[in-house]
Amino acid sequence: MITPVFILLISAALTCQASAQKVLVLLDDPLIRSTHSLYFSDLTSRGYDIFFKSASDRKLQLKDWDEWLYEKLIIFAPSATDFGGDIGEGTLLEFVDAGNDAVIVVDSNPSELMRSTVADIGIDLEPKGTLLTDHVDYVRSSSDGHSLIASEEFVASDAILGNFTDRSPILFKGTAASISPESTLGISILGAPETAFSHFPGKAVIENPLVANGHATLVAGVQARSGARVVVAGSVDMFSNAYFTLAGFETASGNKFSKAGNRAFCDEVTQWAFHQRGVLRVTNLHHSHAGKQEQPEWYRVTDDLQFGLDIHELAGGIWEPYRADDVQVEFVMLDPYVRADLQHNDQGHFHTAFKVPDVYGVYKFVINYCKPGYTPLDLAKRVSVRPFRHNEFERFLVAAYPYYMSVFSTMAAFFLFGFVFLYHK
Amino acid sequence: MQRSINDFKSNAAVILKSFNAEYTKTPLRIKVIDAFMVYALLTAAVQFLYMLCVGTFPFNSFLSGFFCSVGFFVLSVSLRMQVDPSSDEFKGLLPERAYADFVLCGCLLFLVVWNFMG
Amino acid sequence: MAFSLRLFSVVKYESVIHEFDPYFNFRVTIYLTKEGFYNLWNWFDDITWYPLGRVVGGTVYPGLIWTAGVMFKVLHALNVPINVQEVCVFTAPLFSAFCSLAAYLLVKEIRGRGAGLTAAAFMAMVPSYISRSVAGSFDNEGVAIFALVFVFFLYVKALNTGSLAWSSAAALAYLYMVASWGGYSFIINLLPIHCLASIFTGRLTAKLYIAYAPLIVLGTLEAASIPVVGFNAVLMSEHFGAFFAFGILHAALAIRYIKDILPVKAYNAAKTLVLTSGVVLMSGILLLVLFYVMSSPTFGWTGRSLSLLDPTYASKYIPIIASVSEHQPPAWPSYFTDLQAASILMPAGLIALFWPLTPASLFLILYACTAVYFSGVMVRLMLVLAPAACCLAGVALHEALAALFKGVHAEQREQESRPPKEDAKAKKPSSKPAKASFWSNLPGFSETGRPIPRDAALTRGGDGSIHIFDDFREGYAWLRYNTPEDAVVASWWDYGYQTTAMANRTVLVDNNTWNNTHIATVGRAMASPEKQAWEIYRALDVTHVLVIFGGFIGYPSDDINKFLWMVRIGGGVFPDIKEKDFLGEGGYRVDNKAGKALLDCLMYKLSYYRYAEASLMTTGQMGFDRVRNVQIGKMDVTLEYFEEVFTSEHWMVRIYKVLDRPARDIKLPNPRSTRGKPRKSSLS
Repeated sequence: MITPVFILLISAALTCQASAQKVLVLLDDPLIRSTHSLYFSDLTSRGYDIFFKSASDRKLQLKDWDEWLYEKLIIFAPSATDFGGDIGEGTLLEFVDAGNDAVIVVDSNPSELMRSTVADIGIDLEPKGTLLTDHVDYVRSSSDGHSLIASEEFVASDAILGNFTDRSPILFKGTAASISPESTLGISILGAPETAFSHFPGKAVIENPLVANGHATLVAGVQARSGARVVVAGSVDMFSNAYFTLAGFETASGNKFSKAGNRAFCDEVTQWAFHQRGVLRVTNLHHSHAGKQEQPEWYRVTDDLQFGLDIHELAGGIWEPYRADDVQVEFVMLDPYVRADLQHNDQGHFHTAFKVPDVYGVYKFVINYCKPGYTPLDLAKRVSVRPFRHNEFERFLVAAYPYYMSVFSTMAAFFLFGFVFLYHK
Repeated sequence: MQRSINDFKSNAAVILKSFNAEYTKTPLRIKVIDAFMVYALLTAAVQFLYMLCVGTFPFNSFLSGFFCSVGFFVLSVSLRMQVDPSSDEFKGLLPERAYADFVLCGCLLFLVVWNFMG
Repeated sequence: MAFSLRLFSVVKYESVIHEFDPYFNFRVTIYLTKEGFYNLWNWFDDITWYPLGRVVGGTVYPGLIWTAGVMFKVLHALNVPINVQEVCVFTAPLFSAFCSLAAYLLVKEIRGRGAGLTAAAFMAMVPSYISRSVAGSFDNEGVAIFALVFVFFLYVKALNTGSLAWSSAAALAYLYMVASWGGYSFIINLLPIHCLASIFTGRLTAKLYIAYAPLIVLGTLEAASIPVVGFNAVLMSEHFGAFFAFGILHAALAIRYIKDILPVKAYNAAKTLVLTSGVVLMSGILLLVLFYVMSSPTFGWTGRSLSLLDPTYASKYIPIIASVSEHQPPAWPSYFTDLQAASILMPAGLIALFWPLTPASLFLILYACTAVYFSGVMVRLMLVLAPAACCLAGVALHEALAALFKGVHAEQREQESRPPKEDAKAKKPSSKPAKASFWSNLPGFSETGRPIPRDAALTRGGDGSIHIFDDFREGYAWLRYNTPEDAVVASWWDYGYQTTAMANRTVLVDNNTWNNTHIATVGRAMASPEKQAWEIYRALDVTHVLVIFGGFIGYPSDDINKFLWMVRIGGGVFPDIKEKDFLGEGGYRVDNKAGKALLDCLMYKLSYYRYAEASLMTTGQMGFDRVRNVQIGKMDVTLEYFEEVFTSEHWMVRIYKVLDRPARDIKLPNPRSTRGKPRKSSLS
């Protein structure tokens, strides 16, 4: 039994390979197309077909009957209170639930529509009008006061950040978000410095802000169980040509940087959101008796078995063997009876061997592998474990020889008795 | 105390003597049966002791061995009572008929024992 | 006659299998005919008790299944193309006919032919036995009662003849009995009682020994070879009585032997010797046994046996045993409805057996007395009483008839002094009317005694026409054809066997209630609020939930009425389920005064989902429950984690799908989120 999520993932991944994918970009301000042209041209050079539409365009159409007209969605419409055409909050969520990727960018004035949409995806944006502020380590600039921030709090995942290797600080000006601590799907891709907090600019702080102390999330990623990836960023400016090309800046604490990392960061995170990276594929899930090939329906208790599967990772449009030492398999019946690390052979084949526990029942091989930035693997395969057959127990034990002897001697006595009894007159 | 033990001893001696005297009167055929009964009891006892020493692990083997001996004993007792000329309960019964029944039961017993032993 | 009597049911409801357990037996029989004997023995059933599985070969009493399997094979060997189902349906009636024969033989052995015939006649039509052996009731009891009576017959035969051959035959019949039914422990306890009673009333004979001792030795070994009994045959307290009596018997025999062989003086001396040493030895053994028995918490008794000895035990400690209606003490009138004429004639027969009191009749008396006691504790054991009652009634009736005819004959002889041959002829016609009057009552007997099959409940409509509600089969068929093969269906355990047999889907628990914790988990899920229940089900890989709801048509044994047992059993293992939360004002009720936990729990929701509107159309009242005759307490039942996928024609079977986790997590608690709560600082 392979979970449906997994199948969706494969299909989503396969469509990546196909010819140019259509990306719908919704804008509330047509100027963004020129002020953020570098971001879009980077996308185009990656081979995407970009369609710019105004968020309020009456002819907007995301779905034609049962068919999605675009594979990806980018929304630069923080202030849109309503979408045109057939798009509404429900359509957007449906789009995500169907396994399609989206990048949603807001600024410090997100509309209620944007806030509730993002909240339904699992990211809680700060209220309209708040700005992330840092009085200690802000970026010195003429116009932005203390709200332009350079953050280096990146998620520790090469799968998400990809070729963004120099980890230059990211310039950010906008609203912060938070993720529920119980969320298993959301991940903070870019955090805020310890000293930053979220607040209404120009107003006195009379109680401790909730989103502060490094808990603020600037760019968040969500991997829905439908396979969709959504990136939510709190700053429109972050993607702008101006920040992309900034020649150098200095922070209040005196650190000088020759450039911002925004261009590479935004591009790579978008690549991640669009399933170009961090996609895992499992094939060839297989288990058998040790040293055998065919996959049995059941095992006997204390049998030796071997378990293996192939995991591949999507890199640059091709599937490459996945290499990791932290993949585990569990052999579960109500509780995990066996938990084993899987070894891999650099060809993407992961395998292990273990002994079936001495408890019969219906077991599952469970692989539950959640690594930040990678598609979570949640696979289960049922197999029965049976007790010994009646003739599989050990027989003719040494300890039992006296009993056997007695039985034989009694039988001998029985025959002897017969002779004596019948012929003795 | 000493006296009671002596008493006991003399009593036992009397009993054994008279028992011996009476027992020699029983027919030889019955004596043969008795011998086998004693043998069966002995094997049963030995197995029981062995089980106490070694532990109950091959419990099915122990059961079959033990019950085989006990069963043999029980069947012998039955046979003995049937062919005992001193009792009049089974007047009309031929010893051969009784023995045939005995063999039948014995076969059944051994069949069951074999089935359960391994 | 006994056979044909039980076929009414086939005529009325076509050839189907009824009730719950028979479905399991049916399924196992199919397996036997397909896979053979050894595979059955080793069958590990992985579609039940998910994910624990059940070792069927080691936990089932295989007698019935072997019987049906052998019949099937024999019929096929004779080129009779017959379906397994037909074999199963007709097994019970066939064996009830055999049972009548066995009763005849037993009573004949005790009191002669006439009494045997009347006993057999009673046996053929005693309602309590009919109810268990109608065509289609393919249950262990069907063949076990025959085996029971047959063992008794062979034992009595051995007792009368003193032949080892009969004794070994009794041992073989006992093997069949052990293989058929857990009630074999009744035999293994009754025989020692009889044996002891004989010894202490001075009826110790060599015949008794020959009948008893080999049976115990062979029987114990045989019982131990049946996988389901295994070592219990020597380890459980139920069987100790037999060994105890076995020892006493030997001691008594030894004493008698010594008494015979020794002169009187020596005997007296030996007596003191044997007595002192014997007492020491016996007390040693007794201590050992007591020690062993005390070391286990239930004193080595199984729960069911304990509830037999102490009727209040089950309700105190094991709700799962108490929850089965068959295990409740019967109501007094049921003795008359179940045994009818036999119950009236029984005491007469009992008294008649005392003159003359032979070992054999002593046996029947003891049998009747113990059976009466046991049936007083558990309804189910009424079945054990039935043959005893029939035999006694047979004896009584025969005595009465004999007395009657004696008078008639005496008159005839005095007046006409006919030759004795004519007497016999005269007897025949005159006894006919007496019997005929019984036979004419037969349809009446079987009408009342036959149970209505649960899976096709029947009711009489207002115009006197008969409606058959076939919802169960409808529901199972839906499961079979509309769910994936690896679907796991959760329901209360009553429906486990039927789901596996009819729908061929995996179930969590079934009628073989061997794992109380697992059942308690299911009970807990049903008694939990929706979200928690959903989590429990997800953890157990459940895909569908099946509930039985009778409120629409007034089918009283539905899940809501069984629900308190779920709470009790669940609460027995998980203390967070408390019965008093589910009780409303004045007890258990489903209307607006019901307990709060009840209105919130999953079982309530699944039963009454969408019911308010539906009942408006049929009863003209929103949410009116026709079983409990009240308006339900909560009309607007909404489901978040379950989706209704099937509801049968009369709403009896409702099947829900357990929904997957949603694609996105929404509304997770987030202490840092400001959504929904205004911030003070923004006001300043």
